[in-house]
Amino acid sequence: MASGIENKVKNAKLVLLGDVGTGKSSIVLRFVKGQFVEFQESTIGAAFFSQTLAVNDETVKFEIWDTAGQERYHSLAPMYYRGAAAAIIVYDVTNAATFTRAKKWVQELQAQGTINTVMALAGNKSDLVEARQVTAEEAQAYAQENGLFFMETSAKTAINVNDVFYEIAKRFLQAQAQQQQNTNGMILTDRAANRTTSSSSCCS
Amino acid sequence: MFYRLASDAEMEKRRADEFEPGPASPLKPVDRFGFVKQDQNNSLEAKSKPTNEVEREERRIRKWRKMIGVGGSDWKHYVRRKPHVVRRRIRKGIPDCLRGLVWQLISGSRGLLLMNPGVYEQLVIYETSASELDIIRDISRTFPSHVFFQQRHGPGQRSLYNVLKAYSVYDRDVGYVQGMGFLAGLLLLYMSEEDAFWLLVALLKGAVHAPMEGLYQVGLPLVQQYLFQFEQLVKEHLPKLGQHFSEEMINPSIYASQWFITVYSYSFPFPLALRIWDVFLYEGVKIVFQVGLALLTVCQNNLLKLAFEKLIHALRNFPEEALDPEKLLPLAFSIKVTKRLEELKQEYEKQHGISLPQLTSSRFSLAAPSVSFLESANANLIKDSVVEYCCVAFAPTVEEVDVVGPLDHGASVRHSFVGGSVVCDSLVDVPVEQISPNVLKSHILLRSGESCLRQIDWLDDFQDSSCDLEDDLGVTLGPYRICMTWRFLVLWNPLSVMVANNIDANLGDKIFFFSFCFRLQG
Repeated sequence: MASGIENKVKNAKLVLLGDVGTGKSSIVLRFVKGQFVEFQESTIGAAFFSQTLAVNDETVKFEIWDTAGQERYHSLAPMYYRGAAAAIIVYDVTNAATFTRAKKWVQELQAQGTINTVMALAGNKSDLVEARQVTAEEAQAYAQENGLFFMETSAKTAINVNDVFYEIAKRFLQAQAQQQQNTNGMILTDRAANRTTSSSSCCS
Repeated sequence: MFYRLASDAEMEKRRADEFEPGPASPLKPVDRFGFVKQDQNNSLEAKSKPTNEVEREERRIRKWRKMIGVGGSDWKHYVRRKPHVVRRRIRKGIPDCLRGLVWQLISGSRGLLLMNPGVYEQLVIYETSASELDIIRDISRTFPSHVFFQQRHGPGQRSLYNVLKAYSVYDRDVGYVQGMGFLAGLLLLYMSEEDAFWLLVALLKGAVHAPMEGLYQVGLPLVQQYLFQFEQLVKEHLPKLGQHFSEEMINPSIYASQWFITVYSYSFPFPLALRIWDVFLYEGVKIVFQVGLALLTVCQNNLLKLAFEKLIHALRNFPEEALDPEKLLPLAFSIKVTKRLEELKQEYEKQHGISLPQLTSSRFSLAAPSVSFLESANANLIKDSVVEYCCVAFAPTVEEVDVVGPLDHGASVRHSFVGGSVVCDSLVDVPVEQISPNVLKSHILLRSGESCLRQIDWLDDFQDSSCDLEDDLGVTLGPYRICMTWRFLVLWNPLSVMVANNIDANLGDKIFFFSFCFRLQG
């Protein structure tokens, strides 16, 4: 049994993208170490972490790239998201500008990403109720339109942080299974996949 | 005096709970550099020094004081007479109590400061920067574990803000980029904010060594170049490891970009960072490569055993013993890289189509502006035949640039140099017919303060030498000078201000400046 599980560890490259100070590093720190610090040192370049997560009888091992948020570092970003199986795009619910930036990241990934990239939109700092600028409804609607899944998180209180990674792991495994079936000759009618394919072909 | 935060209001607008309510508890134990200790059993720091070591340290300080002289008066002389002694002593580490002063002397920032009284104040108080909010967001995230920077709105955070803001105004092309905060923060632990600002300028604009502003410019061009050079050096010096890295798909951008972007001031032990900075400021960026190679050398046997994920982890968390400056630095000095670095730089430029403009005359080669330019420009622009730099600025319309002739070779090369200039920024919106020497003067005064205005007098003398300039450069300044009766003036001050004086009114509706920097190889 144990060796059976061992065999099913799947590696997934995951990248966190989003504006400066939205809490990308804090989300990772919460997920990987269960910690939170009020003043997380700015990320220069990118940071790397790994963490495993069990989903049913399978195990996903995330290789997490936590990127620098500032626009100037954009030129380094493709290196980190290229080939990523999953992406978490983070914005700060108390800062509308970061939501706009998040949408840009979604567009960029859609234009360049592979079909199998699982994308999550995370509205972080949900504990700061009074300063909220972006409603959950607005973000949810945007996420639905664009085939992402959405959660509001708080790295500070730990709300939904593990859940985001768990959901990604689940979807990642599903996508892998589908791909497996696909290569075995089954025809897929995955709407999200179709859309991505068609949009990328019209853009190129 | 100018501690007023230009954006106090914005600070207030931010949620109060985003900031730590008060200063760090004074009871928290800190190390000798002021960082809050993570754990109590800090082996290296805890021991008090034996007496003979204290004595040795005192002897060193006395030697250094003698070398520096009162307020740095003997320094230049000493460096000129005994550069190797200076280098040797710097490599052994500058005494901590003199570090701030020596850093300013060896980086060339002291000279910039003295030549620009009042400029920093101007930049901090009277200018606004598009980057203010970005800077504020990062302030409490820069050295958050250092007591000086922990207190919200405390002197540490305020001076860090001021320096970064001043720089973002000083060079609007670069503005503020994450990572600069660590440079500025490190400097602020050793000098006043004005001194720290000019040291940042000296580094990024290239007062003594090649300018490093490319680390932070759009596209991070210099980071890319350094990473390319480093990757090649790893392959050449550590072929086995280079091979292993390729197999594991590890390239330096994964582990080394912050080494270059922050010159080891980020996530490296502070005592090591300081020792690296001693050498870095005196000898230039090659020490960053050398230390990187030394680190990989020390850890090679371990790294060779690791696969991708563990490898990345190891490259970001070097063992404590590998980071001991007394062992790491001698190894670093023993690795010879200077010649290869230059070759690799040229290779990189060739690959990426960065062509250095060739002037018609082979007497000239393009070089970055530096303090030697600055000094020679100020003293005697053309006459000194050893090494000279010269900048030319003028203002045709964009269309006209194409017909400039020999000069257009350089037009695209260092315009960033001008982009950062103060006068040009403010002049672009001024209708050409309104530009007169007086307008120019008032702009300079407005933007750069009195110190620059004084230099205008020096410029007046220079007007007559524009012909000499043509002759000496071996280029024709051409129709511009003749048709438009322009007099090309070169105003060099450390703000890289270039001014065309006495401009004829019949130009296009905008003024553009282009600059060149030639080095005369006499």
